[in-house]
Amino acid sequence: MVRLYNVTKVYPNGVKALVDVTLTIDPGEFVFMVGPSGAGKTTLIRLICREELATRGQVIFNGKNIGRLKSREVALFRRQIGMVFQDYRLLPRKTIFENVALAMEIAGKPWREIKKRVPEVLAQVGLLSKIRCFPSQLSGGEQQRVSLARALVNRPCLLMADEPTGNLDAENARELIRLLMEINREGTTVLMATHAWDIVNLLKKRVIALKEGCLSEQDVQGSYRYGT
Amino acid sequence: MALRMLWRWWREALVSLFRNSWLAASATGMVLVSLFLLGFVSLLALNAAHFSRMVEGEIEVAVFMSEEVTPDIIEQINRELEGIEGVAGVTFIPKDEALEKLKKDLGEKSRLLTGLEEDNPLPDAFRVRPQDASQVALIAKQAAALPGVEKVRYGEGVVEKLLKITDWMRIAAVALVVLFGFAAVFLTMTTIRFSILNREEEIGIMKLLGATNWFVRGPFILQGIIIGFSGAAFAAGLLYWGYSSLVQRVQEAAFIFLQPVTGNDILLMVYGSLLACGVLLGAFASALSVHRFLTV
Repeated sequence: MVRLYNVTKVYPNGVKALVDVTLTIDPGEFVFMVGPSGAGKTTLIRLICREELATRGQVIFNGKNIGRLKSREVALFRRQIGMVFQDYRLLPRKTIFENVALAMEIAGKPWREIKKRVPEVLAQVGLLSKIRCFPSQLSGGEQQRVSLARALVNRPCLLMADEPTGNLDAENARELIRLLMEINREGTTVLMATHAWDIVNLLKKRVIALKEGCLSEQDVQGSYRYGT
Repeated sequence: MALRMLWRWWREALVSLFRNSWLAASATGMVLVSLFLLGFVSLLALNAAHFSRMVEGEIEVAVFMSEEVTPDIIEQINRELEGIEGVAGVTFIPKDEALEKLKKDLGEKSRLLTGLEEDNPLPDAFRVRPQDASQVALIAKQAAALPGVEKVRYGEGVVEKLLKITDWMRIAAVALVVLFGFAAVFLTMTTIRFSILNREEEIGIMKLLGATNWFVRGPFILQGIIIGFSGAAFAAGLLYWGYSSLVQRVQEAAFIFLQPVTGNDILLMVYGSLLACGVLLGAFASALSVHRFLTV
């Protein structure tokens, strides 16, 4: 599904975020990405959703080199990916319903379908009762689940989560992981960058470890070895 | 698909304006003030130009004939005066008519003139209207050279000063309009940009969710148009109301010399231009402000 070939990313200020990373993620996989802060985890995610372009090397998504996409193609491509961020990134001026509906409106779905699907996915993350609230009226854990609902509403083939549990307490973090596992079981590929070594060690999923921009380790049923 | 997009733009724009009504209201107020000032100055300039034209329209050359001219010569002079370049019209005033007019002007004191009918001391005269007030000196000079012409008067010295004043009025009016035009453009653009600045993050998120540029841009441009149009409409309404009542007062007071511009078509053009300014500036300012955030 996602292939990186010798990808290097150097930011304009000279910082080398990724160095010669080659990597494959297959459909249906659940992959943890670990590493200390500044190791390049976020950069890798930003490269895959084409928020950044690789300085060298290629990023291939479903057989397409996404570095070559035109502006409009980028928009279409991003609709196939669900994104969850550490800071939720909900629109503060929109209700929970509108925040989730936005992803479907962007994908050009008809209003009838939106009205049916949004409550469905909000029910899946357990937030149907908050459908009319604004993000500021929700707890961090709830906001993150809204963000997850928004990522899922278009049934993406790939879901990327950048430290989604970073701002959550243990219970909310567990709940979020449970939801991610459930989504993965339904066939969505999941790539999750995290510091939460307890979760990684518990789940025994594939682990990619980054260190100073290099791929330092890969383990098919791994655990979080960095720092342990 | 296109219809759905358009519908979404409207819904999005209206909901956003409603939820940020305070910001929208202050932006509309800013547009109102700046366009009102621009409209006010435009009306002032229009009236200054109108006033200058009226004043200049009063300027004429008076050509007085010597005593012993025959009707034939008068006929010929009339033709020659009409032939001078820049002359718009020539009116002959026979000496009898001039005396009648003088009597009328003097009113009660006209009996001072009794007995002058038999030996009218006033000369026959022509009134020559120039096409353009700045040409009077030239016309006067040519008229003075004609045979049988005794004296030529056009208010030497005064006319030149008057022309200088009307010229300055025109220049000042145009300069004011340009100045306030720039101020209006700058204020409107800044206000609308300001109302979008704090949306940068939202725009970034939408782009990451796969929104096309027009999906993001549309509602913002519509909001800009709505704000610009409402501000301009209020400004035009206020100006219309204020100017109409001013015109009415002036006409009631009957200062014949100070007639303001009342032509409906030209006033409609001023109000229409204000509306167009509001709409275009709103749309342009929004598009420009959003553009900076679209490169995610």
